[in-house]
Amino acid sequence: MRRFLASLQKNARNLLRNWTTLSVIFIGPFLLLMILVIAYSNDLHGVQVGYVEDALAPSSGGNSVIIGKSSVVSENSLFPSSWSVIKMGSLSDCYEKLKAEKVHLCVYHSDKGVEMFYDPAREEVGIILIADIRHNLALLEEQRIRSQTGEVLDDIRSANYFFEQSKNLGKKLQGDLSNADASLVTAQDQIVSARANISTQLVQLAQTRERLVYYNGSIQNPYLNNIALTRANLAGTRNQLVWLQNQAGQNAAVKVAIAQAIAQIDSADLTLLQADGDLRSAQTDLAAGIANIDSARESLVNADKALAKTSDEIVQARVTIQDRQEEVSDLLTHLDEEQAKFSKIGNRNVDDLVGFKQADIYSVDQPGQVSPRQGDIKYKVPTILAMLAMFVSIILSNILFQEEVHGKAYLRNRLMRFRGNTVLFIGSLLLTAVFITLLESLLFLVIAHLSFSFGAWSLMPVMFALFLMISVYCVFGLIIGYFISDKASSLLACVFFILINILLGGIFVPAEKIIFPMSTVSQILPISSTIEVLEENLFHGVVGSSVTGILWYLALILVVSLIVLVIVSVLRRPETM
Amino acid sequence: MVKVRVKQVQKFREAQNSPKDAIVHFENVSKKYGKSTVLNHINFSLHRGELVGLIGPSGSGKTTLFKLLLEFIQPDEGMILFKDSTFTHRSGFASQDYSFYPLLTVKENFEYFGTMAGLSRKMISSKLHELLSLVGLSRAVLTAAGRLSGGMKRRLDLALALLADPDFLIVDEPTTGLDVITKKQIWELIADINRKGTTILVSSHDLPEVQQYCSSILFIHNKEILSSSMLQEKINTLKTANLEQLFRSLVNA
Repeated sequence: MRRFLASLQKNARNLLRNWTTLSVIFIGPFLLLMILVIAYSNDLHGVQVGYVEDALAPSSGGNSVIIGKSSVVSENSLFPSSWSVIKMGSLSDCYEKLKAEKVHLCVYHSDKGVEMFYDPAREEVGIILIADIRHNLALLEEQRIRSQTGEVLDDIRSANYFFEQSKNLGKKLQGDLSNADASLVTAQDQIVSARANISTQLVQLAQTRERLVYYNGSIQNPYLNNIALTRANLAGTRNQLVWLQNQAGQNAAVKVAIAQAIAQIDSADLTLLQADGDLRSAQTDLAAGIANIDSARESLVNADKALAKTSDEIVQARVTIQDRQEEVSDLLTHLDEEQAKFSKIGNRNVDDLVGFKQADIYSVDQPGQVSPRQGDIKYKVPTILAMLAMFVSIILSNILFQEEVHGKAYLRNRLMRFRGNTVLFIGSLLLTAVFITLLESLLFLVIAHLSFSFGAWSLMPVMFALFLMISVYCVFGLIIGYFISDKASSLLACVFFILINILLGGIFVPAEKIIFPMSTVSQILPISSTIEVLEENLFHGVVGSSVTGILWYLALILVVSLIVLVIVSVLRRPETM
Repeated sequence: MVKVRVKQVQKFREAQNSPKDAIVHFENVSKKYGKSTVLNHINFSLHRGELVGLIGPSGSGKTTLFKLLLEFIQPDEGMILFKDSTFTHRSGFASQDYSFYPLLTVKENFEYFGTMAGLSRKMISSKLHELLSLVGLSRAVLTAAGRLSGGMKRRLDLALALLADPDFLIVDEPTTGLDVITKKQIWELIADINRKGTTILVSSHDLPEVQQYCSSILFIHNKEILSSSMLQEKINTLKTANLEQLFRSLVNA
């Protein structure tokens, strides 16, 4: 352990007393971050676009003019104000300028719409510009659709108002019909009541008539018959008296008495005659009464019939009213359904219906806030950090190795023949390189944190991932040193190895563009996994299970590379003199 | 009897007649790099307490000989017999340039190499003063080794080579590029170290100094080694005045 510590101390002293390594270690992170902060911005600068307007192009008709220059698009609305737009006479002129890198993009604008041409060699810039123009086009299209949809929505809302009015009228009509039906019901009830009264009246009249007929009959017989019989008897009696009187001749008294009796009989007869007259008058009155009753009965029957007819008519009217009510109800239901359909659309706003032609982009770190199109430069920090750590770890470990092996003191070290000399030699170099690179990475992180203020600051997994990646790449740097003994060639091999890592690590070319089998290599590369861990932790605050797997994977890679290093160190011991 | 460390057991028996007082004996040792033979069946012995000068033109195989001695490489033919199995562990080496960390101070170099050699801190401290005093660098203890002058660097290298009390010291061209005075100082120092009992094999192009300070000389020529006696024979045969003339005549021949 004393030897190991002494070796580490020696390595550290050698590194820290070397201005070159010192500057790499301490100025490097500052320099890189200065470049990030000062040199880059989120926007493109010096953009030059060739604009070809085909005024002579035949109109392609209304349907295809989705974004036609005649209707919506103008030159000013296509390009951001910061771009330089160079008008050109023809597309071929623009092509030439594009090939000569005088312009970044050619935009051909005809009635058919907008066509864009870019240089694949400058694809990244071209695609950003195209995205901007597409964005503007989409905004224009969105505005147009919004306007038209707004008009349609207004019409729908008018129709909806008409439906509402119709429904109100229908409901009023429904009320009127109900009232009419209620009135008819009342009338019908009254008719029923009237008819019942008529029926009662008819019965009563029939009874009265019967009584009158009876009374009329009773006047005749016995009263008139009795009067007639009585008067006939009285007349017989009188005649007898008159005879008697005549018989009585001179018998005055008798005559007087008979005269008196005849007078009395005459009086009685007169009374009877008067009674007969009265009875006969009564009989006439009764007959008239019966006739009146008959007449009244007839009138009542007629009235009953009229009422019955009216009742039938009322029933019919009610049926009609019910039919109308049903019809109005159906109409209202239909109106409701239609209104519901229209309301469903009419109640929505333009935003709901049109949506956005250009989808808004939201950063996962700032939900609700539209993120810049090209991304904040701070999001390059994990990539730069990983690249820096990879670069320094490979180069530093290789330089340390080469400096030792080709250094003045290597021979003396080789002469120190103790057990584990090789392990100590490799171990101390590895640990020194790892420690220094980790220190530099931490420094970079601190400066980056101060410069960019990361949202999340979970240092442990970040440093652990960096430690593992740095260790792996330091091992690689040593392995390269073992394989290529020449200093310059070894460094060149390291640079080449770094370039391979950069190319396959998804730094300049997205990993998604890498195809099998290189995609597998890309996944294996420690830098890819480390960038993933850094991005998750620095920006999103994701810790725990999602990075644990990656850390285990990095640890596995480290173990494998260490085994390779041990094998290589045994098989390829460097020359000493 | 010498303890033998060889890979070819068959030749072990043949080497039984090696000099009894030798600490290391090369017997028919050959070394090739690819098809090019660097050393061809060389035979020589090094004896305890000797100060042996190794001379030869550039590219004659001196460094290969050192590598063989330090067991950095193995012979293709023949064998190297060591008196002690820990011979190479008890060997020191002062290189043609220097073998220390220029960014560390003299003291830090001592501490580092002392620790690596398994010395205690106390022992390192003691050795630091003793050896720096021996090589005359006591005042430069806190100076960065890289800032020392050429002669001081050689002295420091010698001091570091002596740190683990080696029985055998290889010194590779210790005076290259040094002025005459410093050269003399270095040779005096080597001789002084030798006088203290350390066997030393020193390669050099300073033929007069080699002749002056070394008890015996080995001359590598045409992939072979000529010992002191053989050299004397050559001087006599070729009638050259001194070693330098002999060297010139042999090399030019």
